[in-house]
Amino acid sequence: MAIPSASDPVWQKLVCGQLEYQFESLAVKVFLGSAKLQISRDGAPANQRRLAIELQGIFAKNETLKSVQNDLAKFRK
Amino acid sequence: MYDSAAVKELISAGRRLLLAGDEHILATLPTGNWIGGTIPYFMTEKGGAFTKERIYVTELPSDVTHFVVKEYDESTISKVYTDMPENGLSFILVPALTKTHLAFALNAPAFPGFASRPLVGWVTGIDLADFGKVPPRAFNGTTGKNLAEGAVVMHMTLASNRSAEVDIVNLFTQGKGDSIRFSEDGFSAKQAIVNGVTQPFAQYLKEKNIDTRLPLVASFAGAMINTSFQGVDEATGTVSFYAPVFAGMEYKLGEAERDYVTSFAKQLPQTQDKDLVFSCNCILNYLYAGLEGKRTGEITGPVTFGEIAYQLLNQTMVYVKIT
Repeated sequence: MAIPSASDPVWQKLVCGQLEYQFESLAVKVFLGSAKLQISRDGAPANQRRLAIELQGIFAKNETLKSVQNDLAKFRK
Repeated sequence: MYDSAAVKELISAGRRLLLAGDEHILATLPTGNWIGGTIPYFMTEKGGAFTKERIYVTELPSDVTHFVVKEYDESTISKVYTDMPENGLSFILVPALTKTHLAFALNAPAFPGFASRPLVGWVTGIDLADFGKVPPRAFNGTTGKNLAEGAVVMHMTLASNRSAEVDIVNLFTQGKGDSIRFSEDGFSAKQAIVNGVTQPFAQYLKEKNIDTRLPLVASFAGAMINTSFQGVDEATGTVSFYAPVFAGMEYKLGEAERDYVTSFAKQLPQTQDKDLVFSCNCILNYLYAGLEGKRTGEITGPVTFGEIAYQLLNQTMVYVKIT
């Protein structure tokens, strides 16, 4: 399953909490938890974009892991 | 668990090792392909144990094709994630209560590349009877150097068809009690925002008769992350923690089933023994759950002063598997 590009709006929706899923991957969960906290402190669009790109990077760098594949399937249509 | 003579043989044979043991025994080891951290508490095949005379040995599997050991301090630890190899696993040892430990704990989520690649490890410690007298250390076995301040990290490259994954077992969940927040990040707090009302935190804990063996628990997108209480100073009204609290995060007092050993067995990773490379568990679990002499399933490893699974954790078991 292909990982959406970094510019896909799904990543920003995930880091901003507009989309929420019960993810399996610990890396995804700790990153998202921290990202949401960072956005609550600084909601500037540039910060949201930066964190969205980092989240996409986590999926891309760990795409061989089953947990990440399962997480991707939750929002990748 | 090995005695020093056996570990020396492994090192001389060129084996690649992650070691845990008391300082006096690690200091006798020759240079070689190893890093190590000080601690005298372990979970062994026979149960929890205290020893200064034996070393817990983790040998790197053949999936690790290459490694490099780096040392960091509080100003360079921010590079730890970006220094990690493309397909790899990095293992970090950082002595407790050092500037590097605190810098990592407070700032890791903001480091470039945070959580992008698997980082696992532990906070090194000492015999609790020596707390405040003897500093914990991290050993760079490739150089023979050991650090009382800083971090030692082994960055490992894996074979292209193998991947590492870090995960945790945390028996604590958020209880159904008060919502607790803090106005500042830090390892201590005098005030807390309880259900929206700012109040002296030490007083709150006393009035509510809170059992501070239970951690504060935050939900990181569903991952239960603990912050353990270190102490309550009623004279100054300061509550201290073994990990930082973060302003804006919602915490609740943790709750867990009473029988740690049984609960732990239920939540053990469903993974083949051969895939599990390393595990560690928190000294607070060892003490509060009375783990000396008791086993946590088939899982063995050092019992540590903090655990690292991407970020600093408390009262948690951390493990890494390679599949």
